[in-house]
Amino acid sequence: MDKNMRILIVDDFSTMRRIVKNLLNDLGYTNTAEADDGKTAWPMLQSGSFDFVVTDWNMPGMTGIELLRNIRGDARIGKTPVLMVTAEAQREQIIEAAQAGVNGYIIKPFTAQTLKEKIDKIFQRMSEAA
Amino acid sequence: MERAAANERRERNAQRLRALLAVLEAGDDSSFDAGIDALAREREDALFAHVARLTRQLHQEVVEMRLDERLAHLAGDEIPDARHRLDYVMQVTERAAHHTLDLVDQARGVTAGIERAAQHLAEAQTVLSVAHPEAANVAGLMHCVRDDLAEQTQLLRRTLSELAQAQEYQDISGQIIKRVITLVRNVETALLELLRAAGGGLQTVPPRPIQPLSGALSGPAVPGSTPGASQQDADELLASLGF
Repeated sequence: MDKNMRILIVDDFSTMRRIVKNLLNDLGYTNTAEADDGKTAWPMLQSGSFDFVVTDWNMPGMTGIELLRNIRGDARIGKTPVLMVTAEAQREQIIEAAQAGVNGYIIKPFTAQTLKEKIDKIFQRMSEAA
Repeated sequence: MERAAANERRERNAQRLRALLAVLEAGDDSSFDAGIDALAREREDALFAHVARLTRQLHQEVVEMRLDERLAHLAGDEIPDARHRLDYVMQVTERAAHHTLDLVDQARGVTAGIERAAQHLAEAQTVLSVAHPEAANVAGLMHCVRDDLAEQTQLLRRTLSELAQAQEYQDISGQIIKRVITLVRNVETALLELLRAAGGGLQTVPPRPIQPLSGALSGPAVPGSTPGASQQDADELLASLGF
């Protein structure tokens, strides 16, 4: 997969954004941008050409699940892969995210290995589907 | 005495129901509906009277126990103070986590420096091997040192990554503290409402709606609460859904 793909990291905690960004850098993905909630992320997604979104669920303004639904409902960016990284770990929520069209679900706290696995799996599935 | 009153009430109800049944059987629907409505209204009135009595009692007890003063102190000073302390904990842990991440970044720069030095050592070794083939043992030693440096730097890089990763505690604990702050604010609002209802002071505080705790989200799992799914549970669940 393209290590130069543009990734948007959405989380209301600046520490977590930085950690995810560091981990992505370690994996070779250096083309990243950050947003502190769905509301900030939405116009960025509309104007910038992002190839991948890593988002938290519980955020003020617009939550991750709302952002995901907005993305899926948009004709232009509707197919952008979305990886949910969240502390929300109830079965109902995982199912809700799946139904909303999430591509991967990581429960915090997580490891670098898990992040790598999920990203690899998402792109493997996308290349199989293509 | 109470039993006599209950019997009397029962007898009265039975009479009214018999009368209503007679009206129904006589085909007088409008009288029947009116009778049923009247019965329902009486029950409602009794409920409201009961609530009003409880409210008066509560008011009386709040006044008698001088609860209003204590509540006013709690709601006016102690709870806002607790909220500020929790806010401060969030700020401090966030700063500490960022500071750690800054230091990790610095240390990553150092590992890059060590890697460059190891590369220079490799170049020096090549030069030495060509210029002084008789010093093969020194060249061999340099090679070992270089390998050692490469191995140790790799280990250091991994450790630094884990150190950075470990800072995610700040996000998890921060989310939990945010929920507690919301809860504390709700208790504060409820207490102020109670004080207002009891006719206490603090009339100037504007009413605030009580916020639900982050909608229906349950937040990070903590020991003692409903256990959340593990990553493996989540993977299995998603796999069963065709992911």
